[in-house]
Amino acid sequence: MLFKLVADMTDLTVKKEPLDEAYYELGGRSLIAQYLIKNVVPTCDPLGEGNHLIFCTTVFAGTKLTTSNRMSVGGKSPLTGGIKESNVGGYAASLLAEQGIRLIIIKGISKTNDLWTLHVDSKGEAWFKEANDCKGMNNYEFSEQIHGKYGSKIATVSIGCAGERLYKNASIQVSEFRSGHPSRAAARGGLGAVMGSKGLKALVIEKPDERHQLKYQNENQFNEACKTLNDLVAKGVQNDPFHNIGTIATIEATGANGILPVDNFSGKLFPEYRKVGANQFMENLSSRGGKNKIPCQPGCMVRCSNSYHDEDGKYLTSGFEYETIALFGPNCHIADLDAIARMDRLCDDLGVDTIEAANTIAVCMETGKIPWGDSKAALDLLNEMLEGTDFGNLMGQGCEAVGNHLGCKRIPVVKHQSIAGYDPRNTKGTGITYATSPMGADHTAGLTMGRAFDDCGRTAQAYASNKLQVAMCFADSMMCLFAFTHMVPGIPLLANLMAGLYGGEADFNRIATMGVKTILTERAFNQQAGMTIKDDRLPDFFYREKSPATGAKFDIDDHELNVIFDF
Amino acid sequence: MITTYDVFVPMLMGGGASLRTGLKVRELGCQKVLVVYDQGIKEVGIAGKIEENIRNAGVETVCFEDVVPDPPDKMIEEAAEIAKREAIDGIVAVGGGSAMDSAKGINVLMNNPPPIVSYFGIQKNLKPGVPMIFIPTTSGTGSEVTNMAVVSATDLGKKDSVVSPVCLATLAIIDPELTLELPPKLTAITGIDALAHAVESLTGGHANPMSDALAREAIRSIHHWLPIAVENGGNYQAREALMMASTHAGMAFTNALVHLGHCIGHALGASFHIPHGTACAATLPEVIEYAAKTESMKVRMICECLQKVIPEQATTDEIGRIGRDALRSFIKSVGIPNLKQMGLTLEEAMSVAPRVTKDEGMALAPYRITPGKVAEMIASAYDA
Amino acid sequence: MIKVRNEIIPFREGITVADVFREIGETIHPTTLVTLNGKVIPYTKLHHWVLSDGDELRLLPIISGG
Repeated sequence: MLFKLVADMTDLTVKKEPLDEAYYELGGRSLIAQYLIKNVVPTCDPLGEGNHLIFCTTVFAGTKLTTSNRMSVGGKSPLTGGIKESNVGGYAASLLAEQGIRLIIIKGISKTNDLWTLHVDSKGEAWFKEANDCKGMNNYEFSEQIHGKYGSKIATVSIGCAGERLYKNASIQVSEFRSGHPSRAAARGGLGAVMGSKGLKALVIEKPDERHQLKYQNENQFNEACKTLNDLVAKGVQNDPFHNIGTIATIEATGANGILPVDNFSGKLFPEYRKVGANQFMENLSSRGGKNKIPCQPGCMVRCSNSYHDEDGKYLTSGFEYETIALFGPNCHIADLDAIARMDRLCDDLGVDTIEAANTIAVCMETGKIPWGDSKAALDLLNEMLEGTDFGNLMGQGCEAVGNHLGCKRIPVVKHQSIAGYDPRNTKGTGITYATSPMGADHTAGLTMGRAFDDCGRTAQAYASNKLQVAMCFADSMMCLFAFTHMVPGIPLLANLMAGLYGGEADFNRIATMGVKTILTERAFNQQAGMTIKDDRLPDFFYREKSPATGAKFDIDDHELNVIFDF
Repeated sequence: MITTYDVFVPMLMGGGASLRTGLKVRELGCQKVLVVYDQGIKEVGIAGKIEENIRNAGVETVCFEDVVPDPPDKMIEEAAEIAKREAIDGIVAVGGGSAMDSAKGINVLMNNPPPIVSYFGIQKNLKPGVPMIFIPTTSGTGSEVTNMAVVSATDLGKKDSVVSPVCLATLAIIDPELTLELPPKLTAITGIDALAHAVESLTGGHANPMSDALAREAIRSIHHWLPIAVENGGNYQAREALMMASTHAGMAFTNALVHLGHCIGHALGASFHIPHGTACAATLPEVIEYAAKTESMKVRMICECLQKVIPEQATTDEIGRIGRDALRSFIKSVGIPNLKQMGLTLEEAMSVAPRVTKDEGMALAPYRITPGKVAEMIASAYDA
Repeated sequence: MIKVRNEIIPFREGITVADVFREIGETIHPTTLVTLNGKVIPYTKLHHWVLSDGDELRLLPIISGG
């Protein structure tokens, strides 16, 4: 039997109940979609008492399937105004699986100004703990405090000051397996603010004394399929640049083909992109005592995480990723990897989405508030956000708010959320994903680079985006995307996993319909929240401006976007 | 919109051009070629003439005369074995799409290990084969200028294409005299196949101005000359125009690719064994109507080529309807039967719809379409 | 000799990465990183990058984004 925790911030109760039957064969993104459409009124105030914040693990959490212990956070987003699922690695989902907990629901809103943590102890008991002494504490200090008190067999899921101040770019940071650094981010869409609005500082999950045993309907069937899939991943990662280097390897590709954003999505090439690329990264790691090939959750074979040290050999940041580097780097005309690492650290600590923060900095540069390429000025602005100055607080409202305030004509957002490290003119399928995904401008929802005939051409882009968006819905219900991509030849076996664990036929439709149903449910939520077809478009300037690197504009016919989710 | 045009085959064209085959083979440096054809081409004497022509030029020939329609993988593999054993250094294919696609498959297997089905899809890195000369005898599949080989996978029960530079002819010899004996029914069917290639390449997602120009020329020609050739097969001018139209359409679609019409055609062909041209023509008018929503400019071009006037202010829906009706009336005028006349029930015809949308060729469709809408299109075309 | 992708290519003076790719039937493309003895070769220099005897090349294709 699996459990859910229903935590009510209004009366500060936590109930441990059996998980609903209907949720057994759902997890991650698919569970969030079904839960929210039934329990949250789409027109509610995202920072009010009607919004629910939910945390859940995947359909295969607790099994031996590699990376199945991934966590998804869901709720109505204060940034997009629509449904949000934000997924994250780290140690928490693994411990929740050991606790036998699939879902944690946070509803209601604290009636007082107090701050709370939700603690799940080693006996499986859960309760609210008053945490007023943590008010104004950022994630690193918080995590160190908890780990200092409880040791290493614990995970924190916390907000920093950004979440407490209800910043729309506020993230929720999860502690990494082994190191305990709060560097894995459920970053997009401001769910940290939802957490803050409820008065919740953190979840603190202890490793249980007794590990929950899953009940398999046909364990042999499960194990056989699981072994094949894990073997595919083990084989695939050997030549995976994410395993061998890290996600920063993507810079080498996008820097060469015009997909890397430069100077607020000017579409130009950045000649010095290699200064923030793979070789510089690996050199800095090896000469300063840093490391890569770090698993952020136990049992991960991809091991794309890293520990990055500064010039003096001291730990600086971890989970140092492509998006952060591309958007704080070349998109701000910055070529200083160390400066960017400092920005990454600051963002993780304060608890903000690096994508949103970096786009905010770029917009400040575009309007002349600070010079292009000035990493010191950029860090100064981030410090304003850290300190909560007037401008800092405005930055916390996101790229669009700052852009509007400064009179920027080129604000790169869709559904008010800023776009990720891929110029949509030069990977048009990804542009179509940005425009049409219910998540807003989200690259993880369907990055099509390398999957259409020509990334900056028209052909098959909408086709690729549709296929990937559906696939990502079920991938994000089961495991980490990076492992999923290696399992692709064995995808039919996912049905065997379902049948082996939950019974019934090994019918692939159980998986395929999960994808379609999730995306249609998310769209329905957004429509009820008031979104229209106008929200499924890219900002005007991508349609008008040619990318100097390729001559491409985002010239995809509107109708292709309108029908992309016709099934 | 920035587009590309990349696939091109040098051509030798004109009445009697096939008599230059021997000299051209020798020019390419071949000393022993595999000549690929089917029994039909043998029976009408064309194969014998070509072989003699090649031998007279001092080049040895080895013959593979067992080509069958919808070339199966096992047949291609068998032929490739012969080719390798005989150490041939060139391939000449004479016939319709089946002979040429078989030759392409054989060429792939010259220096890449079997099975041929392992090369389905776009192959960028196959080891090159030997020079190939293609002599089409229908007008036609356009295969003499395309980089695709359609192969039937015996064990999988399906057809798919190998797409590669190794499937591209070194030279296409286009001799309209070889089509003078083509019977009226086959003339109509292959002419309509060429029309479908042209119409779909104009309206798909990979269209470009170069392929558009070729497609338009093909449609104009077919519109004017196909009825004449069906009526009077001996009309050389008609045969010449249709041969060029077929090659134009082939050049267009190997660059721009085809989409929904062919996806429906493949699904119908696979389930009910209808000839390829007829199957693709069945719903082509409805495909144009659907395409008009985003490709109204291209549908206007098609109507113009079919000598149909479209008013300046026509809406995309109206353009679609006019295009649909113009195409249907032309297809009927050359005696192509509809699905009902072919003996299918309505249920049978509509039942292929889910298969259609699963076809990867749908990536080229101008915009997404659901199986439900495809079924509607098939129903609308059923007894039209 | 040059080691690449489980194959051994005989070394010759002036052999480039482009030459090796042609041998093994691979296309040079920005989304496949190429490392030489552990270091990524810049994409813009790949075609004409001259190799030395004993070099080991690895092909690391990017298949998803992050």
